[in-house]
Amino acid sequence: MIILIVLVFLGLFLYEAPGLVAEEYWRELAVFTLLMLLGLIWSILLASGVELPYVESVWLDLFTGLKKGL
Amino acid sequence: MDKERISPRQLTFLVISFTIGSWIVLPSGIEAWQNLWLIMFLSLGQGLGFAYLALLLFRRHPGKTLFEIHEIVYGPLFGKLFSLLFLWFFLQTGAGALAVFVTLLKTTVFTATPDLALLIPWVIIVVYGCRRGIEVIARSNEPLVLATIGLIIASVFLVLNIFERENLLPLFNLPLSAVLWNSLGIAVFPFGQNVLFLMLLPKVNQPQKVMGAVFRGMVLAGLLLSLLQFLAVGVLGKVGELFVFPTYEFYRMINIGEVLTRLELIPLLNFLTMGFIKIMLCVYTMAVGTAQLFNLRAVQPLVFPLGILVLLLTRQIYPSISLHLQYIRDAQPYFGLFFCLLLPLLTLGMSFLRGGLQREMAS
Repeated sequence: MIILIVLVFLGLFLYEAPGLVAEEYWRELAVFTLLMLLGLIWSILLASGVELPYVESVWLDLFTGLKKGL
Repeated sequence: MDKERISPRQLTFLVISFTIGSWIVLPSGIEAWQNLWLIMFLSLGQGLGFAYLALLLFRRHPGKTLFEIHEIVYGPLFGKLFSLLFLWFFLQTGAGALAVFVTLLKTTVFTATPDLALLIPWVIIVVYGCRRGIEVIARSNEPLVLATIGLIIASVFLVLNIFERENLLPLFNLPLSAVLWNSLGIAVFPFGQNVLFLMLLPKVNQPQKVMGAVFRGMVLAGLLLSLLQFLAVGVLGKVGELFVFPTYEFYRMINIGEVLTRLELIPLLNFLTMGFIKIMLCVYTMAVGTAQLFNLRAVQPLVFPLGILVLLLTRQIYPSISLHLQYIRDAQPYFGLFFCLLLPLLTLGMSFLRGGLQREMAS
């Protein structure tokens, strides 16, 4: 599964990056790569079964805690 | 992409789609079920108030997006921090809407289909739309929103034989605190989320008509949602509050002479289009915002990775629909109030303060 994910991300990178290089959009390429890396790491974590917190659970805990604190 | 322009009418239609968005299938404030259609008017009033404050900000800084205003008001460093907060808000709004639609599809039509099989095609279409730009999104939205309005109005005639006036009662049976809390919940979601349009307003070709266009869109969306809620309560009665997706169940009840039955898939498809537009707007706004944050010249290349981030966050939004309902009830009003009222109000206050200080220094 992880190999498949890496291949998909690599495919997307190869689809987009040459155009950016040709246009000399270096900043765009840097941000694009950064976002793709973020997505890749996140996907690998999810595919490996790492338990990440759920966003709404975090907000619920935070606001419930704040309400109790006040 | 910078030269893209939309008309005030297209902006109105976009506001309608964005507001209807996912609320139409999973309404907030469901605890006030039988009063919801009336509370909607109170929420609309509050939502218009939020929008007025946000539009004041745009009027003070014409031609600037929210992120550009942040940098003008707070300076480059703090401005970027505030913008990052809003990027998160757009990301969560898009992923939240997508998660709701996937849950709806999984519990009603595609019960045995894996999440990813629904998410991936959805995100591909969203990314495709965003890469075409806001003009294409706005143009494709026009027939979709007209179809939705037509469908909601047609619903009035479709439910004539099953609508029971007694189902609307009791009315005004809630304590004031519950009314206010639920109205606040609806004011921030869906109306308050329109703060996202602060990123798109500079693209409107007649800036002087922006305020009217946004207000018209919000009022029309509010009236449509209230009408739909009114019909749903009249058809489903008190049991309606037990359903997670009451609008879907309401359309399932339509039965005209045993011929026109099981019509729920038509409105379902129709509401999915509103979801598409809402998520597209979120992704597009994130792309525009990220480009401004990093001073980029092109927006298009960012759309793909941002679409992937929305897809990934959709899987991490909530573990179960019951937690999502709890979030809507207990946390969303605070979360929404922070982004839809407090931050724009703070920015507006700071903008006035800085303007005043600059004038003093100049004199």
